[in-house]
Amino acid sequence: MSIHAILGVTLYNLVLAGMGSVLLFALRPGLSIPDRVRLAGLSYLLGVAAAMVAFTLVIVLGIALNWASIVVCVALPIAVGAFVGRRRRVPSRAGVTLGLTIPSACILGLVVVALEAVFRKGRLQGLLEFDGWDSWGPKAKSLYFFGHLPPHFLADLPGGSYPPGLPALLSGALHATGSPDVVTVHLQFWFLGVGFVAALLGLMAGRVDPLLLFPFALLVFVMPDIRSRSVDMYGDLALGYGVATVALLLALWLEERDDWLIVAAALLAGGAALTKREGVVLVACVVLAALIASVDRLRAAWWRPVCVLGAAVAASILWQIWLSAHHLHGNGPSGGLHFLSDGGRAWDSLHTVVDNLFTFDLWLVSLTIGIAAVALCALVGAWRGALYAGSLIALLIAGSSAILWSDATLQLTDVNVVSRLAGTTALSVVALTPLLLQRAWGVPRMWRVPAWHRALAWGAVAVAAIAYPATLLAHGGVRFPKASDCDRPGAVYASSYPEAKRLGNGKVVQDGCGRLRVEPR
Amino acid sequence: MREVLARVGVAFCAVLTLAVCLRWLFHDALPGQDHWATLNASQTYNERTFPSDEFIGSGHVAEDGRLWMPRDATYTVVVGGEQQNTAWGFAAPHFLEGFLFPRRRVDAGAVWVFCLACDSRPATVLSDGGNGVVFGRTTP
Repeated sequence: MSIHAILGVTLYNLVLAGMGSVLLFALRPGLSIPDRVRLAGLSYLLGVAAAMVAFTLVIVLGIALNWASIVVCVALPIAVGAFVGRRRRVPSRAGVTLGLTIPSACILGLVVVALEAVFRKGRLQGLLEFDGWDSWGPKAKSLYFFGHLPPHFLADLPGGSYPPGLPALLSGALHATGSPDVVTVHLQFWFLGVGFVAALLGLMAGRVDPLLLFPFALLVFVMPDIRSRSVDMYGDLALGYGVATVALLLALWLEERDDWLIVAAALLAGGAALTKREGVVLVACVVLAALIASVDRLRAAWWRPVCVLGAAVAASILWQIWLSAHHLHGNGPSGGLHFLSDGGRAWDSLHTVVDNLFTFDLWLVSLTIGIAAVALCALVGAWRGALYAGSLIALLIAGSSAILWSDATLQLTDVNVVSRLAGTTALSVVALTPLLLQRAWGVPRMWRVPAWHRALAWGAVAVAAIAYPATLLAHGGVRFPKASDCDRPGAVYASSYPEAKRLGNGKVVQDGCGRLRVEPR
Repeated sequence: MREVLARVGVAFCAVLTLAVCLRWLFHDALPGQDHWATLNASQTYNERTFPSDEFIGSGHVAEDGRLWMPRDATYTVVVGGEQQNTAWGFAAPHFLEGFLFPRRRVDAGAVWVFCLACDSRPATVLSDGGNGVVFGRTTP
């Protein structure tokens, strides 16, 4: 909860972004410096996915996930990435910029403000989410304290068979804060959100007009369901960011057929599969949509999207091996395939997911606009984009419904559960819609703005970024809770009952800040 | 004609999305995040650490357990038969396990015991939540 803890998490995430940046350098050695900056969000997500894979490998191999192994997990991909990148080095080309104008800068400024608001919420959020203190938090703390997940601990834990990617990522963040600070670690989810928005902006810059792109970047954290769960310790949003980015990378691959997009998507798919068990199903939906959209060149192209699914399946099998070796039940539906006989629940699940996704108070207009964008693409004959996005929406809805259908313990009337599952579909649609709208519009207009206009536009973003926190600070300073908040003049404090007893035989009471106060009798 | 129609549609989609975003940013997202940020900042250590006793038994007793047990201690959590199918049965032990790390929860044989409406209270009760949740030692 201290400034040091926040700086620690920030540094940790910068290291992950750095690792991802080197991996991107290995994939695309010809990128110019501005392009690397533009793709910083994607780099960060690649770094997160690579860390999840490496940390899971460490756990599966029975090596303790501690400071030393975390450093190796980061250093090794950096070394390999740098080596491969240097070997493949080609002259860099001119970079692509965001093409910012003053109107689009105003929208970008609001995106920054929305992200700052999420940061404010996350900074002091207690571990009060049910799944947070019941499952994700204990797993992350177990990895922090012991470096491994004891099988008997997972055996009766809710979601005990879930892959360890996210808890491992969180345990790294706990190490970075310097203590098991389950409050500050909520900021990890903020960083994931920032990375996702930055990845969308970076990947589509130059391909989509900023005036079409930025409203959808703003939509991410304005959607009420994302807004309310933005920093909660759940795996759903982390999974959603990963799957949606895979969907966007495959959409770009369908247009450009650049193989680095496949490799990046495969790494993110591996990360998604290690975030939650349903990651494999949702990645399979994305890959199937890409195959449907490649129908005219399937013979030559089929194996590339299949590699993306292969990466997700391989990551999932990696964890499955560990579960089997420790005699823990696997990641499949708890009741096996018995759910197949319950056709009524299948229909109800589909109805529930569709109903949820079209609820304005949860997802605003995201699905409606997404479907309209598909129709507009079809209207102008951009059939590949329309086919991909259309089948993606249908398959993700079907996949989410199948997940609900397969687990009878998930109540269809529980809006919270259904929304968390449906969120991946909504995020994927938001990620793809600007690209679809641009294809329906035609070639993106590249604004040639003079230097003073560009400076003014970036100035507007900077003003928004500074003005929002400055306004809040004017109403009161930033608070960093600490144990001394509960200090009473003249009182004596102890950190345990045995210590309090040694201090005297006064009345010992909890001080409300995690210590004991010894009061004179 | 198709291109014109498509462009009109694209412009409509972009304007509608932006309008909805602006409305909800200022009407819901910013005030909502501000509300939670203010609430989170005003919370005490206890409010930030302990979910409702309805789920975890007793935050006060859990805190006493942390303050009594050394970091290398082992403990058991015993839940009474009537509470097995309630949150005290399926959720409280996991909360205690996560909260009390690096102390380790074992199934039986530990000196330290959390009793959630269980039949036999520990020999030495060190903390009593007043709602059937106690913490203590099996030895005097």
